[in-house]
Amino acid sequence: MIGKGNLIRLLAGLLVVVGLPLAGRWLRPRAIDACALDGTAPPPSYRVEVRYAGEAPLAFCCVRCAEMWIENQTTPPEAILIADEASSRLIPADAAVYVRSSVLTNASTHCRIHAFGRRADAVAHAARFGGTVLAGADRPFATTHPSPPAPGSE
Amino acid sequence: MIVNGFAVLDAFLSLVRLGMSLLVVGLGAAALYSGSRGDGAADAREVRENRTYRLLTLAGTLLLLNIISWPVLYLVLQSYVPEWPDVMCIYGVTRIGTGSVGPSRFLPPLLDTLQAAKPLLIFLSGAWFALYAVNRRTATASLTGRVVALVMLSGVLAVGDAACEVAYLAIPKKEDVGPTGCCTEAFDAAEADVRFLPEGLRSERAARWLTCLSYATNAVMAAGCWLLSRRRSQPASLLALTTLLAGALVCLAAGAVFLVEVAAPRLLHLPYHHCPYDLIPRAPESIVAAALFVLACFSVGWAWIVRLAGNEAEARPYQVETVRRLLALACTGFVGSTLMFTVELALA
Repeated sequence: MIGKGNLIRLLAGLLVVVGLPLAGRWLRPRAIDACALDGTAPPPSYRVEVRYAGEAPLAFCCVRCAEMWIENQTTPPEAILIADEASSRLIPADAAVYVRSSVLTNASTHCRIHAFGRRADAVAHAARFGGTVLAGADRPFATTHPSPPAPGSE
Repeated sequence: MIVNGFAVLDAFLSLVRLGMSLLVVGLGAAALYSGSRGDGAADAREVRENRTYRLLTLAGTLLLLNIISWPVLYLVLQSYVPEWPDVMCIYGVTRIGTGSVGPSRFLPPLLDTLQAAKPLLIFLSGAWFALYAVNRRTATASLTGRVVALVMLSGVLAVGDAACEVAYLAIPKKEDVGPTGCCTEAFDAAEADVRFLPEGLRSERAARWLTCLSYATNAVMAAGCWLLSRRRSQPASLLALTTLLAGALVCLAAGAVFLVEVAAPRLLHLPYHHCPYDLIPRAPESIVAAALFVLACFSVGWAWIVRLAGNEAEARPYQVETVRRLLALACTGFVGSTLMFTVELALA
């Protein structure tokens, strides 16, 4: 037969091991708009959205995070949208012009890839910060979302 | 030096610990020296007893401060996170100073040393305290020499730990050393080098196996501790306790891999983010479960030390009881942490 003291100890222990996780979950606010890879808030000008068929879109804080996520998936995404750095407007990833420059978009992942909706903005950024406009296989998401052929090319 | 509330608290605590641990080492050395001379005169014996009493009182206070200093270190590191734009959690803070040629280059090794020394220090402090609990009940305090030796050992480690902590706090951290990055690249990239498992074993299937392994090792350890704690008259054999200790080490390794590979991503709601440091601000209740688990593993080690070092005829009845209590504590820790992690993972 369990004694009164032991019963109290048992109940107190159960209260801790069950009550604490419950309280933690109840008190902790859920991040509504966070990077799906590392949980940080995506800056509007570097935001990436990855969409899979029948699922809610996933937000990412930089190109590197989105690429790491996609690497872990077995199915390719249905669509990838990326913020035009000049306007913060989301555009299809395959239509964006990418620049790798000395400016970090996300210091915690060392991502230096910038996306622009207009080629003129991309070239201006590359010239100002010593960057390179990325083409072909160097473009982010090249394997999942190859870019359309450039005008005038075969 | 970055000055904030936690850093000031930690600096104060570290300086107090440094002073106290130096005193403990000095008093311990004097106690061991006078004990080895074996002067049987009543006056000399009284002086020796008073000195030992003072030493143990001081060491007891130091033990408490050492325990407090463990979470305080992580609170300090967490409070440093907003200081650098490329740092998003404690992992990034631990890398500050990498690649520097100035005094900041000592920061990462100092922190690595501190992170390894803290648990060792608490284990050693607990070991002397467990042996002291047996010794204080004997009529002639026959285990005093061994208790003082363990106190000295933990005192020496406390001197090193406190000195490292003071140095870490004092070294400037505002040097421009370029971005060091944070946990996303270190833990989550395919070529991540700080994970416990090789790339080939990082799959959903491996995660299921790891979960099973972690639960199985905890269950076996809890059952082993419970069975041995039921023996009231005979002490648990040294062989059985050594086996249990080896099991605790395996359990500790399995628990660490489980935490990084399975628990952290689930508890953080980030399926590919394996940083255990992120649990401190984002799921702090999981730290309680981890602390229970560490307490359980340590209790097995303390029981082993009491069995090994407390083997005197006069101390045997108390040794049996202390080992039994420590194993019961270990059993409670294993069951408690398993239950808590289960509830947390179910809610995640």
